[in-house]
Amino acid sequence: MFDLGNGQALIQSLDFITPVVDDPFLYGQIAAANSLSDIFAMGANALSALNILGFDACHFNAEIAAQIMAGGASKVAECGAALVGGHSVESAELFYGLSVAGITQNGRFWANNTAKAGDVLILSKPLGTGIVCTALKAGFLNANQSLSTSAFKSMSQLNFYALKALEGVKISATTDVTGFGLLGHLSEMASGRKEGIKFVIQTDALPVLDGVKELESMGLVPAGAYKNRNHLLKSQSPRLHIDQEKASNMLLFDPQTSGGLLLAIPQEHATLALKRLKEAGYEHASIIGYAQQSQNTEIVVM
Amino acid sequence: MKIDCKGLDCPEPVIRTKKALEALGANEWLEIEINSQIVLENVLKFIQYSGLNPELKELENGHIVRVQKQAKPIGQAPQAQPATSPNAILTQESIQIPNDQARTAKETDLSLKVIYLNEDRAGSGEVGQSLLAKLLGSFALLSHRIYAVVCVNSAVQLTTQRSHPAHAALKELQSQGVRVISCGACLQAYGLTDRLNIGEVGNAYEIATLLAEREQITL
Repeated sequence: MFDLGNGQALIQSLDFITPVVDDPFLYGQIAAANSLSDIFAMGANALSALNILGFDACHFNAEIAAQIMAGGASKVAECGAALVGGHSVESAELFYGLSVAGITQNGRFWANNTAKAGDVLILSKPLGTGIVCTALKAGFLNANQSLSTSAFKSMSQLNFYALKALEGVKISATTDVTGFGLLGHLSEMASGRKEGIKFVIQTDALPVLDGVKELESMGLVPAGAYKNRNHLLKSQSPRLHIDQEKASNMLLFDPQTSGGLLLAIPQEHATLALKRLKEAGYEHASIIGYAQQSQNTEIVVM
Repeated sequence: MKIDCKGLDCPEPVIRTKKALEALGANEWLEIEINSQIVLENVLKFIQYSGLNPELKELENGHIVRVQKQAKPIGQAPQAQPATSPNAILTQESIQIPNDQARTAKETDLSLKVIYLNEDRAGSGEVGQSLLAKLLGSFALLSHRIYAVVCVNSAVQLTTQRSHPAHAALKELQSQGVRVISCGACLQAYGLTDRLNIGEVGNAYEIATLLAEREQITL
């Protein structure tokens, strides 16, 4: 992040992922939405983007690369940014993403660690994309099933529309939910603060992809979810209070690709924010918990 | 039967466990060797989901999971499953690995196609407007996306009038990354230039280029 000195700040980010779906165009869209999300999670607009592609030309033909980048370009265009170039390398493992430049507008900047006691926590997209991708990889689910298509839709949906939807709404803090899973990113919101805070998460209120709980109970859970959980269980600050049964619900820890925004919003603005998010196409957006005053830094899962 | 899942990454051990359980005769025992805590949790989840009771033996550097295949059919989850569950996956005859190159190539060809709308309805019948809404809505449900929708003549109603029956379906396509292009001159002729709320304005040259390069679907 770079202060331009005129009330605006330039934000640069870089992110890329390995394929999560078979279809190259869709993969391009998802990877781009995932990369662009870093900018939107700070309340900024995307200005321009550069492609970054690692491509295995021995095993895939150039048409695949073109499809991936066409998918990415469609998402860059969708949020009004310009795709201005990029770079590709030969790589044994395929990867694709974007380097994005964004700019804050009207002094709006959303930090991730500025939640206040009394805030309500809202999650804008359903959880479970990591589990769906694992089940697809394992062949326990195929790409035509409705669970897959709703996961694809969610992963390729830009967090961009939340910016406009939340104009005029007071936001205390935001982050986007990606590789560390819901509780991992919540723990980032609790870190690096002067005062303590207690986040309370209501498991029953969590939006999850329809049908994903069954895959979770079949053990189609990516290794990353367990790593996320084990890391949090060991953490001293924030300290995670969770019973054994809840800790075995891996949706709480499932690494998300292009996940939703996790927002801390003052209670009096929460209903409006939720309504606006739903209208903007985040139909699964839900209030999932709240923040309370505390001496310590802690997360309670109920 | 014995299977060795040592050193395997998720979800491979679950796949092997499933295959082994399917191959097992009634009341036979399966032993699974595991040396990772993560794999162990996933395999235990799978066995419990299948309605079986795993036994655990701890070794110096790992675990052996023992499970007896009872006479009742695999796939009966302990609790009732919601109707929307992703089908009775376990009862499928065999695992289908979605690795069909030919199919993927064929389906992704959709991204080379554009829908060309010359009217705000599909055909001239009474149901034309709602039929168009249904057709566009169905395109949104396909697992692969078309590249663009081009709206000319009265089809620019779709991109400007929220009340048009097909507006929402078109918006949905756009939210999925499909380009929606309205003819600028047509918008002007209908006095709708400032009402555009889906997609972008295209001039005749851009639209001609698009139509020349891509295959068209007319509704």
